[in-house]
Amino acid sequence: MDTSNENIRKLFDMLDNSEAYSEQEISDIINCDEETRETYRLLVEAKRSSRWAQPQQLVDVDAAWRRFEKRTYHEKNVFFTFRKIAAIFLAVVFLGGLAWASIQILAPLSSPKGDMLPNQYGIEAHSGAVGGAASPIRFSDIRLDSILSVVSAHYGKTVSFRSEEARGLKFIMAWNPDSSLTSFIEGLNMFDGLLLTLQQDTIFVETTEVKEDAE
Amino acid sequence: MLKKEIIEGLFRQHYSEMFHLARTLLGADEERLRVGASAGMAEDVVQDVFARLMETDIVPEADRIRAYLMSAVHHGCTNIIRRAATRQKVESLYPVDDTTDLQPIDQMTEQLDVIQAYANEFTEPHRSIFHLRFDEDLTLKEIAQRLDMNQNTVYKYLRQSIQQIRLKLHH
Repeated sequence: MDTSNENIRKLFDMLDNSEAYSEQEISDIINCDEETRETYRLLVEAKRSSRWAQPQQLVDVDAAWRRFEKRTYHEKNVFFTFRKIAAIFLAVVFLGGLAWASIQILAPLSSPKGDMLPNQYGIEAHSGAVGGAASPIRFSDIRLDSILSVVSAHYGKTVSFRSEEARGLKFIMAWNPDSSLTSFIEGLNMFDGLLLTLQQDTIFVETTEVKEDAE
Repeated sequence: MLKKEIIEGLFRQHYSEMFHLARTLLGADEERLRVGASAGMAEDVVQDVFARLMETDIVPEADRIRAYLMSAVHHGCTNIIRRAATRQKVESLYPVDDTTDLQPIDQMTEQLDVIQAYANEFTEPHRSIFHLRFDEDLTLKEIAQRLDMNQNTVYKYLRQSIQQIRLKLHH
Protein backbone atom coordinates (compact mmCIF):
# COMPACT_ATOMS: atom_id res chain seq x y z
CA MET A 1 0.00 0.00 0.00
CA ASP A 2 1.56 3.37 -0.97
CA THR A 3 1.82 6.22 1.49
CA SER A 4 -1.04 8.22 0.02
CA ASN A 5 -3.45 5.27 0.19
CA GLU A 6 -2.38 4.67 3.74
CA ASN A 7 -3.02 8.29 4.64
CA ILE A 8 -6.47 8.26 3.10
CA ARG A 9 -7.27 5.06 4.95
CA LYS A 10 -6.24 6.82 8.15
CA LEU A 11 -8.48 9.73 7.21
CA PHE A 12 -11.53 7.45 7.02
CA ASP A 13 -10.58 5.73 10.26
CA MET A 14 -10.31 9.09 11.96
CA LEU A 15 -13.64 10.33 10.55
CA ASP A 16 -15.40 7.23 11.86
CA ASN A 17 -13.69 7.39 15.28
CA SER A 18 -12.83 11.04 15.80
CA GLU A 19 -13.21 10.75 19.59
CA ALA A 20 -10.10 8.55 19.62
CA TYR A 21 -7.91 11.32 18.19
CA SER A 22 -6.61 14.56 19.65
CA GLU A 23 -7.22 17.88 17.88
CA GLN A 24 -3.61 17.88 16.72
CA GLU A 25 -3.80 14.32 15.40
CA ILE A 26 -6.97 15.15 13.48
CA SER A 27 -5.32 18.17 11.94
CA ASP A 28 -2.17 16.21 11.09
CA ILE A 29 -4.11 13.43 9.39
CA ILE A 30 -6.11 15.80 7.19
CA ASN A 31 -3.07 17.85 6.24
CA CYS A 32 -0.50 15.08 5.90
CA ASP A 33 -0.37 15.42 2.10
CA GLU A 34 -2.15 17.11 -0.78
CA GLU A 35 -4.04 13.96 -1.79
CA THR A 36 -5.54 13.50 1.69
CA ARG A 37 -6.42 17.19 1.98
CA GLU A 38 -8.18 17.04 -1.38
CA THR A 39 -10.06 13.87 -0.39
CA TYR A 40 -11.30 15.55 2.79
CA ARG A 41 -12.40 18.58 0.75
CA LEU A 42 -14.37 16.30 -1.59
CA LEU A 43 -15.99 14.56 1.37
CA VAL A 44 -17.08 17.99 2.63
CA GLU A 45 -18.56 18.77 -0.77
CA ALA A 46 -20.29 15.39 -0.94
CA LYS A 47 -21.85 15.95 2.47
CA ARG A 48 -22.99 19.42 1.49
CA SER A 49 -24.49 18.12 -1.73
CA SER A 50 -26.46 15.61 0.31
CA ARG A 51 -27.83 18.34 2.59
CA TRP A 52 -28.47 20.64 -0.37
CA ALA A 53 -30.44 17.90 -2.14
CA GLN A 54 -32.72 17.34 0.85
CA PRO A 55 -36.15 18.77 0.09
CA GLN A 56 -36.39 22.28 1.47
CA GLN A 57 -38.26 22.16 4.74
CA LEU A 58 -41.58 23.86 4.78
CA VAL A 59 -40.43 26.96 6.61
CA ASP A 60 -42.98 29.10 8.39
CA VAL A 61 -41.83 32.41 6.92
CA ASP A 62 -44.55 34.33 8.78
CA ALA A 63 -43.27 33.07 12.12
CA ALA A 64 -39.66 33.70 11.08
CA TRP A 65 -40.55 37.27 10.11
CA ARG A 66 -42.29 37.83 13.45
CA ARG A 67 -39.17 36.64 15.30
CA PHE A 68 -37.00 38.90 13.17
CA GLU A 69 -39.35 41.83 13.65
CA LYS A 70 -39.36 41.34 17.42
CA ARG A 71 -35.59 41.03 17.56
CA THR A 72 -34.60 43.93 15.36
CA TYR A 73 -37.33 46.53 15.52
CA HIS A 74 -37.91 45.77 19.19
CA GLU A 75 -34.21 46.26 19.99
CA LYS A 76 -34.11 49.50 18.08
CA ASN A 77 -37.01 50.73 20.13
CA VAL A 78 -35.26 50.17 23.44
CA PHE A 79 -33.59 53.55 23.27
CA PHE A 80 -36.87 55.18 22.35
CA THR A 81 -38.52 53.44 25.29
CA PHE A 82 -35.97 54.82 27.71
CA ARG A 83 -36.54 58.32 26.39
CA LYS A 84 -40.29 57.98 26.57
CA ILE A 85 -40.28 56.73 30.13
CA ALA A 86 -37.79 59.37 31.18
CA ALA A 87 -40.57 61.93 31.26
CA ILE A 88 -42.62 59.70 33.55
CA PHE A 89 -39.67 59.28 35.89
CA LEU A 90 -39.15 63.01 36.03
CA ALA A 91 -42.75 63.45 37.14
CA VAL A 92 -42.26 60.82 39.84
CA VAL A 93 -39.22 62.68 41.12
CA PHE A 94 -41.26 65.84 41.50
CA LEU A 95 -44.04 64.03 43.25
CA GLY A 96 -41.41 62.82 45.67
CA GLY A 97 -40.96 66.39 46.87
CA LEU A 98 -37.88 67.50 45.00
CA ALA A 99 -37.80 71.06 43.81
CA TRP A 100 -37.35 71.76 40.15
CA ALA A 101 -33.70 71.60 39.42
CA SER A 102 -32.07 74.94 39.39
CA ILE A 103 -28.81 73.56 38.15
CA GLN A 104 -28.51 72.45 34.59
CA ILE A 105 -25.92 70.64 32.64
CA LEU A 106 -25.05 72.63 29.61
CA ALA A 107 -22.98 71.82 26.62
CA PRO A 108 -19.34 72.89 27.12
CA LEU A 109 -19.56 75.43 24.34
CA SER A 110 -22.66 77.12 25.68
CA SER A 111 -22.23 80.68 26.85
CA PRO A 112 -21.82 80.65 30.62
CA LYS A 113 -24.42 82.56 32.54
CA GLY A 114 -23.44 84.88 35.33
CA ASP A 115 -24.85 82.81 38.16
CA MET A 116 -23.45 79.46 37.09
CA LEU A 117 -20.65 77.58 38.77
CA PRO A 118 -18.46 75.34 36.63
CA ASN A 119 -17.20 72.07 38.06
CA GLN A 120 -14.80 69.37 36.99
CA TYR A 121 -17.41 67.53 34.90
CA GLY A 122 -18.07 70.53 32.69
CA ILE A 123 -21.35 70.93 34.48
CA GLU A 124 -22.45 74.42 35.14
CA ALA A 125 -24.73 74.94 38.05
CA HIS A 126 -27.13 77.65 39.06
CA SER A 127 -26.55 78.84 42.57
CA GLY A 128 -30.22 79.09 43.44
CA ALA A 129 -30.28 76.43 46.12
CA VAL A 130 -33.62 75.49 47.55
CA GLY A 131 -34.07 75.93 51.30
CA GLY A 132 -30.34 76.03 51.98
CA ALA A 133 -29.93 72.38 51.06
CA ALA A 134 -27.82 71.14 48.16
CA SER A 135 -29.46 72.05 44.89
CA PRO A 136 -31.06 69.32 42.84
CA ILE A 137 -29.29 68.78 39.56
CA ARG A 138 -31.18 68.46 36.37
CA PHE A 139 -29.74 66.19 33.76
CA SER A 140 -31.20 67.19 30.46
CA ASP A 141 -30.71 64.60 27.72
CA ILE A 142 -27.39 63.46 29.21
CA ARG A 143 -25.66 60.11 28.63
CA LEU A 144 -25.94 57.62 31.47
CA ASP A 145 -22.17 57.20 31.79
CA SER A 146 -21.83 60.97 32.28
CA ILE A 147 -24.63 61.06 34.83
CA LEU A 148 -23.12 58.17 36.75
CA SER A 149 -19.65 59.67 36.75
CA VAL A 150 -21.09 62.71 38.56
CA VAL A 151 -23.31 60.75 40.93
CA SER A 152 -20.80 58.01 41.77
CA ALA A 153 -18.09 60.56 42.53
CA HIS A 154 -20.49 62.29 44.91
CA TYR A 155 -21.15 59.06 46.84
CA GLY A 156 -17.54 57.83 46.58
CA LYS A 157 -18.44 54.81 44.45
CA THR A 158 -17.17 53.40 41.19
CA VAL A 159 -19.27 52.37 38.19
CA SER A 160 -19.06 49.19 36.15
CA PHE A 161 -21.06 48.80 32.94
CA ARG A 162 -22.00 45.19 32.29
CA SER A 163 -23.87 46.33 29.17
CA GLU A 164 -21.89 48.67 26.99
CA GLU A 165 -25.05 49.77 25.23
CA ALA A 166 -26.29 51.30 28.50
CA ARG A 167 -23.51 53.89 28.46
CA GLY A 168 -25.03 55.88 25.63
CA LEU A 169 -28.60 55.96 26.91
CA LYS A 170 -29.69 59.51 27.53
CA PHE A 171 -31.91 60.67 30.32
CA ILE A 172 -33.88 63.67 31.39
CA MET A 173 -33.97 63.52 35.17
CA ALA A 174 -33.31 65.35 38.38
CA TRP A 175 -31.01 64.24 41.16
CA ASN A 176 -30.82 65.62 44.64
CA PRO A 177 -27.29 65.15 46.05
CA ASP A 178 -28.82 65.16 49.57
CA SER A 179 -30.85 62.05 48.80
CA SER A 180 -29.42 58.60 49.35
CA LEU A 181 -27.66 56.64 46.65
CA THR A 182 -30.20 53.87 47.16
CA SER A 183 -33.08 56.14 46.27
CA PHE A 184 -31.21 57.35 43.17
CA ILE A 185 -30.66 53.74 42.07
CA GLU A 186 -34.25 52.82 42.78
CA GLY A 187 -35.34 55.76 40.69
CA LEU A 188 -33.22 54.72 37.71
CA ASN A 189 -34.40 51.14 38.04
CA MET A 190 -37.90 52.36 37.30
CA PHE A 191 -36.80 52.65 33.69
CA ASP A 192 -37.86 49.50 31.95
CA GLY A 193 -34.87 47.69 30.51
CA LEU A 194 -32.28 49.14 32.89
CA LEU A 195 -30.95 47.58 36.09
CA LEU A 196 -28.52 49.18 38.50
CA THR A 197 -27.24 47.31 41.52
CA LEU A 198 -24.94 48.46 44.28
CA GLN A 199 -22.45 45.87 45.43
CA GLN A 200 -20.04 47.14 48.05
CA ASP A 201 -18.43 50.20 46.46
CA THR A 202 -19.44 49.55 42.88
CA ILE A 203 -22.57 50.44 40.97
CA PHE A 204 -23.16 47.78 38.31
CA VAL A 205 -25.19 48.76 35.28
CA GLU A 206 -26.85 46.37 32.88
CA THR A 207 -29.71 46.32 30.44
CA THR A 208 -32.49 43.81 30.69
CA GLU A 209 -35.13 42.71 28.26
CA VAL A 210 -37.84 45.31 27.85
CA LYS A 211 -41.29 43.96 28.56
CA GLU A 212 -43.73 43.94 25.67
CA ASP A 213 -46.21 46.12 27.50
CA ALA A 214 -43.63 48.86 28.05
CA GLU A 215 -44.41 50.27 24.63
CA MET B 1 -31.83 52.80 6.94
CA LEU B 2 -34.08 50.77 4.68
CA LYS B 3 -37.82 50.96 5.12
CA LYS B 4 -39.42 48.09 6.99
CA GLU B 5 -41.68 47.25 4.03
CA ILE B 6 -38.67 46.73 1.75
CA ILE B 7 -36.95 44.47 4.28
CA GLU B 8 -40.15 42.49 4.82
CA GLY B 9 -40.60 42.01 1.07
CA LEU B 10 -37.05 40.71 0.65
CA PHE B 11 -37.37 38.57 3.77
CA ARG B 12 -40.53 36.86 2.57
CA GLN B 13 -39.12 36.33 -0.91
CA HIS B 14 -35.72 34.92 0.00
CA TYR B 15 -35.90 33.56 3.56
CA SER B 16 -36.61 29.91 2.68
CA GLU B 17 -33.74 29.57 0.24
CA MET B 18 -31.32 31.39 2.53
CA PHE B 19 -32.33 29.17 5.45
CA HIS B 20 -31.82 26.10 3.29
CA LEU B 21 -28.33 27.27 2.35
CA ALA B 22 -27.47 27.91 6.01
CA ARG B 23 -28.64 24.40 6.89
CA THR B 24 -26.59 23.00 4.02
CA LEU B 25 -23.44 24.68 5.25
CA LEU B 26 -23.99 24.26 8.99
CA GLY B 27 -25.88 20.98 9.03
CA ALA B 28 -29.38 20.16 10.17
CA ASP B 29 -30.47 20.89 13.74
CA GLU B 30 -29.70 17.41 14.97
CA GLU B 31 -26.23 17.49 13.38
CA ARG B 32 -25.39 20.83 14.98
CA LEU B 33 -26.66 19.72 18.36
CA ARG B 34 -24.49 16.63 18.09
CA VAL B 35 -21.37 18.80 17.91
CA GLY B 36 -22.56 21.12 20.65
CA ALA B 37 -23.75 23.98 18.48
CA SER B 38 -27.05 25.82 18.61
CA ALA B 39 -30.10 24.42 16.87
CA GLY B 40 -31.15 27.93 15.93
CA MET B 41 -27.85 28.85 14.34
CA ALA B 42 -29.08 28.67 10.73
CA GLU B 43 -31.94 31.03 11.51
CA ASP B 44 -29.60 33.36 13.41
CA VAL B 45 -27.30 33.61 10.40
CA VAL B 46 -30.17 34.54 8.08
CA GLN B 47 -31.61 37.03 10.55
CA ASP B 48 -28.20 38.68 10.94
CA VAL B 49 -28.04 39.17 7.18
CA PHE B 50 -31.35 41.03 7.17
CA ALA B 51 -30.43 42.99 10.29
CA ARG B 52 -27.30 44.27 8.54
CA LEU B 53 -29.18 44.97 5.33
CA MET B 54 -31.69 46.99 7.32
CA GLU B 55 -28.94 49.39 8.41
CA THR B 56 -27.92 50.19 4.85
CA ASP B 57 -29.44 52.77 2.56
CA ILE B 58 -28.97 51.00 -0.74
CA VAL B 59 -30.61 47.79 -1.86
CA PRO B 60 -28.62 45.82 -4.43
CA GLU B 61 -30.21 45.78 -7.89
CA ALA B 62 -33.07 43.34 -8.31
CA ASP B 63 -31.05 40.90 -10.43
CA ARG B 64 -28.26 40.85 -7.86
CA ILE B 65 -30.17 40.76 -4.61
CA ARG B 66 -30.43 36.97 -4.48
CA ALA B 67 -26.69 36.49 -5.01
CA TYR B 68 -26.01 39.21 -2.44
CA LEU B 69 -28.20 37.61 0.21
CA MET B 70 -26.98 34.08 -0.44
CA SER B 71 -23.35 35.23 -0.36
CA ALA B 72 -24.01 36.97 2.93
CA VAL B 73 -25.42 33.73 4.38
CA HIS B 74 -22.39 31.87 3.08
CA HIS B 75 -20.11 34.41 4.70
CA GLY B 76 -21.99 34.21 8.02
CA CYS B 77 -21.78 30.41 8.05
CA THR B 78 -18.08 30.50 7.18
CA ASN B 79 -17.45 32.71 10.19
CA ILE B 80 -19.22 30.24 12.48
CA ILE B 81 -17.37 27.27 11.00
CA ARG B 82 -14.04 29.08 11.32
CA ARG B 83 -14.57 29.38 15.07
CA ALA B 84 -15.40 25.69 15.55
CA ALA B 85 -12.83 23.31 17.03
CA THR B 86 -11.16 20.92 14.57
CA ARG B 87 -12.97 17.93 16.09
CA GLN B 88 -16.34 19.65 15.62
CA LYS B 89 -15.40 20.41 12.04
CA VAL B 90 -14.66 16.82 11.13
CA GLU B 91 -17.69 15.48 13.01
CA SER B 92 -19.95 17.69 10.89
CA LEU B 93 -17.74 17.46 7.81
CA TYR B 94 -17.09 21.19 7.80
CA PRO B 95 -14.14 22.56 5.84
CA VAL B 96 -10.99 22.79 7.95
CA ASP B 97 -9.56 25.74 6.10
CA ASP B 98 -10.99 28.80 4.40
CA THR B 99 -9.75 27.94 0.92
CA THR B 100 -12.63 25.48 0.39
CA ASP B 101 -15.15 28.28 0.35
CA LEU B 102 -13.61 30.83 -1.94
CA GLN B 103 -15.80 30.19 -4.96
CA PRO B 104 -18.85 32.40 -5.71
CA ILE B 105 -22.09 31.17 -4.23
CA ASP B 106 -23.80 30.36 -7.56
CA GLN B 107 -20.81 28.29 -8.56
CA MET B 108 -20.88 26.51 -5.23
CA THR B 109 -24.57 25.57 -5.34
CA GLU B 110 -24.21 24.54 -8.99
CA GLN B 111 -21.37 22.24 -7.97
CA LEU B 112 -23.49 20.70 -5.22
CA ASP B 113 -26.20 19.97 -7.80
CA VAL B 114 -23.61 18.39 -10.11
CA ILE B 115 -22.30 16.11 -7.36
CA GLN B 116 -25.74 14.94 -6.37
CA ALA B 117 -26.85 14.31 -9.96
CA TYR B 118 -23.64 12.44 -10.65
CA ALA B 119 -23.95 10.33 -7.48
CA ASN B 120 -27.47 9.36 -8.50
CA GLU B 121 -26.03 7.94 -11.71
CA PHE B 122 -23.54 5.70 -9.92
CA THR B 123 -24.01 2.02 -10.49
CA GLU B 124 -24.55 -0.30 -7.54
CA PRO B 125 -23.11 -0.76 -5.00
CA HIS B 126 -21.38 2.64 -5.34
CA ARG B 127 -24.69 4.46 -5.34
CA SER B 128 -26.05 2.85 -2.17
CA ILE B 129 -22.76 3.21 -0.34
CA PHE B 130 -22.53 6.89 -1.28
CA HIS B 131 -26.06 7.63 -0.03
CA LEU B 132 -25.68 5.59 3.14
CA ARG B 133 -22.49 7.45 3.90
CA PHE B 134 -23.64 10.99 3.20
CA ASP B 135 -27.43 10.90 3.58
CA GLU B 136 -27.53 8.65 6.63
CA ASP B 137 -24.09 9.41 8.10
CA LEU B 138 -23.20 5.75 8.51
CA THR B 139 -19.63 4.67 9.24
CA LEU B 140 -17.81 2.24 6.96
CA LYS B 141 -18.47 -0.51 9.49
CA GLU B 142 -22.20 0.27 9.64
CA ILE B 143 -22.48 0.35 5.85
CA ALA B 144 -20.67 -2.99 5.65
CA GLN B 145 -23.14 -4.48 8.13
CA ARG B 146 -26.13 -2.98 6.32
CA LEU B 147 -25.03 -4.28 2.90
CA ASP B 148 -23.49 -7.46 4.23
CA MET B 149 -20.10 -6.61 2.79
CA ASN B 150 -16.53 -6.56 3.94
CA GLN B 151 -15.59 -3.19 5.46
CA ASN B 152 -12.52 -2.98 3.27
CA THR B 153 -14.66 -3.45 0.18
CA VAL B 154 -16.97 -0.65 1.27
CA TYR B 155 -13.95 1.62 1.73
CA LYS B 156 -12.70 0.82 -1.80
CA TYR B 157 -16.09 1.52 -3.41
CA LEU B 158 -16.49 4.76 -1.51
CA ARG B 159 -13.01 5.88 -2.41
CA GLN B 160 -13.69 5.11 -6.08
CA SER B 161 -16.85 7.23 -5.92
CA ILE B 162 -14.94 10.14 -4.44
CA GLN B 163 -12.31 9.81 -7.17
CA GLN B 164 -15.01 9.84 -9.84
CA ILE B 165 -16.51 13.01 -8.38
CA ARG B 166 -13.09 14.56 -8.37
CA LEU B 167 -12.61 13.81 -12.05
CA LYS B 168 -16.09 15.08 -12.83
CA LEU B 169 -15.52 18.39 -11.06
CA HIS B 170 -12.13 18.92 -12.67
CA HIS B 171 -13.56 18.54 -16.16
